[in-house]
Amino acid sequence: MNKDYIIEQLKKQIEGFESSVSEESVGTVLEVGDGVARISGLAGAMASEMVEFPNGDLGVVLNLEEDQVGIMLLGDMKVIKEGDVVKSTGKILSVPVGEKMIGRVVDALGMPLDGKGEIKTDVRYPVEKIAPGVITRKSVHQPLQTGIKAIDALIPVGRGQRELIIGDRQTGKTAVAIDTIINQKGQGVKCIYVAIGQKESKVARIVSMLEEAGAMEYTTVVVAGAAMPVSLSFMAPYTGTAIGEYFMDKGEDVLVVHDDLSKHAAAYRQISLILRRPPGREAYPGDVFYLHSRLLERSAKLNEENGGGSLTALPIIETQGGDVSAYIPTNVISITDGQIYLESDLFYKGIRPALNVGLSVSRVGSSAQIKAMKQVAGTLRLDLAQFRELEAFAQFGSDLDDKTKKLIERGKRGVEMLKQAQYSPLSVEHEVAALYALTRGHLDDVAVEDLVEWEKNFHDYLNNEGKAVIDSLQQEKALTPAVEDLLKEYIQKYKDITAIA
Amino acid sequence: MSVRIQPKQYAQLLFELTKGKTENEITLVLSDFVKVLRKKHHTKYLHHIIRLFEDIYNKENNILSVKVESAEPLDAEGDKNIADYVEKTYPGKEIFLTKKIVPQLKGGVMIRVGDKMIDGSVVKNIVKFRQALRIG
Repeated sequence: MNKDYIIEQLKKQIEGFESSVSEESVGTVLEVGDGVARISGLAGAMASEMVEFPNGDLGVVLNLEEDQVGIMLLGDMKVIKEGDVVKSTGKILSVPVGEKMIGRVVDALGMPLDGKGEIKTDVRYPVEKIAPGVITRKSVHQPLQTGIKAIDALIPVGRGQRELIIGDRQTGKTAVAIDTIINQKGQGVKCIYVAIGQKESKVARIVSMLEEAGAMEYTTVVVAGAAMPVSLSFMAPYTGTAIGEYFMDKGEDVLVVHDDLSKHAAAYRQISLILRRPPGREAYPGDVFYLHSRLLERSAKLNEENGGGSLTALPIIETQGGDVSAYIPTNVISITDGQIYLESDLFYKGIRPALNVGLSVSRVGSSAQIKAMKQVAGTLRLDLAQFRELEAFAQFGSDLDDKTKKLIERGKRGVEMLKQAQYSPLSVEHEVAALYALTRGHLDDVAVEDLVEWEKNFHDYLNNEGKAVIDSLQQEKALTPAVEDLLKEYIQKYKDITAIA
Repeated sequence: MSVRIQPKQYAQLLFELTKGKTENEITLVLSDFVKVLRKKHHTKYLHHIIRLFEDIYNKENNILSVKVESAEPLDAEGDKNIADYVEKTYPGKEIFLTKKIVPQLKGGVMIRVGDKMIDGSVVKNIVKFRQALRIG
């Protein structure tokens, strides 16, 4: 029945098609190798412009020299040969963005990798974009709850902040980021996980984990695997940010995880060295700082006139043997608004997340904490700092005065309380309730060994019998005397029950 | 410290060495030139040098190299049209036309002058048409 309609439509389109011939700027391939091509000609090519090879593959202009240009290849370099004609497009590389990207696994050019079919979007965003300016921004004021007690209490992250996750290999950096993504369920935050130069098996595990937790409903995964061309590793974080910017421009909140930027820097170093750019410290080219600063500056909290959206970035850096004074770690530490420092010593001691509370900071997040959290966390940091100072002493002598003993006991419970299993993010109300019990001394009579079990059951108890506490905390967002009394009452009730059991 | 000799310098040198020479002299110069290249292990640049030499030679002698590709041999009228067009767009140049038959183009012509290319082939139009249909 639709046959005539279809033919009619087709005719209309064919009529509308105009065959025009125009002059194009072209060049010839001189040499190809290691993901880079040198091209003669292409006069008038612009830096970071997209060029097209005869087979339809794309490249990006990186080097402009006197009589040739250096191009980074984004596709298979084996099919390109000397003498091939390269066309300039006059456009900057762009990727498809939009609602349809959510729940998908894509490569650094926005092409699907998950076998769920073509992604049909009408909007494309350039991968490189100038970061929002001063006038369009607003200071960070809303919290982005990670669901990890230690982070939400001591190193809070705000929407629009850039918080670095730094640590050696196998310290749980990715775990922190994944837990944060899982905890965004129902918070109206779109998440983008960018895997740079990672094993595909690890990425597959993360995706299945996110699916299991129901987190893929609001998450896009951008993958530049270790086996893909290195140019894609270089593009991936920019692609992820571009996908996020679409939602930020719509006034939504976005979280982008860059896992990890050390590999991104290494990818850029490889391309730069092959392009014969002069090497600098640790053989990185001179502009690695700009490479990361222009990426992370695109995270922002926009003001109301600009939609009020935000883009939070959680870049990850892997250190070698705990050396934070290497080139890339110092660069990224100075760019970001704070760092979450994870240590392998703590990790093996069983303190997980292996957070070093003393070295981790958040420069802007505290203004984004809810009041209740500020009220319970205020004394926690001090307690822990004093505990660390006294801990060494306590190992020698037993004849300590009562005050010191008390501090040490409180500190031990504090360390225990900040432990948290993977994939079990907590809501902020539960965090406040647990930390309240700790900082106000309600746990001083609970044995340190029993604390994990105590806490687990306490959360269950609050979910079942103690709904009133959670609800009132959710409403007030602060520890008003009424809320505090209620909380005290339920903690006492729970303790009575456990005492009987 | 020795500075690496660039292909461009070689090409310039070759041009100056062969300028105004007879055929016999050129043969001698060329054999010496290749000897130098081999001694310096620079024979790998030969392709590049030849290309650059062509550019320099054409520029100095006011020659414009035009490459025309078509799917089938062009008839007299087609030839004339192209020649007229090139002469009009690049006046005052001596035009050096090379023709090539490329069946993959299916039809139409592709003209290339230096860094500029005018693609009027059927293949190109099919690609454009496909894009237009997809967007519409």
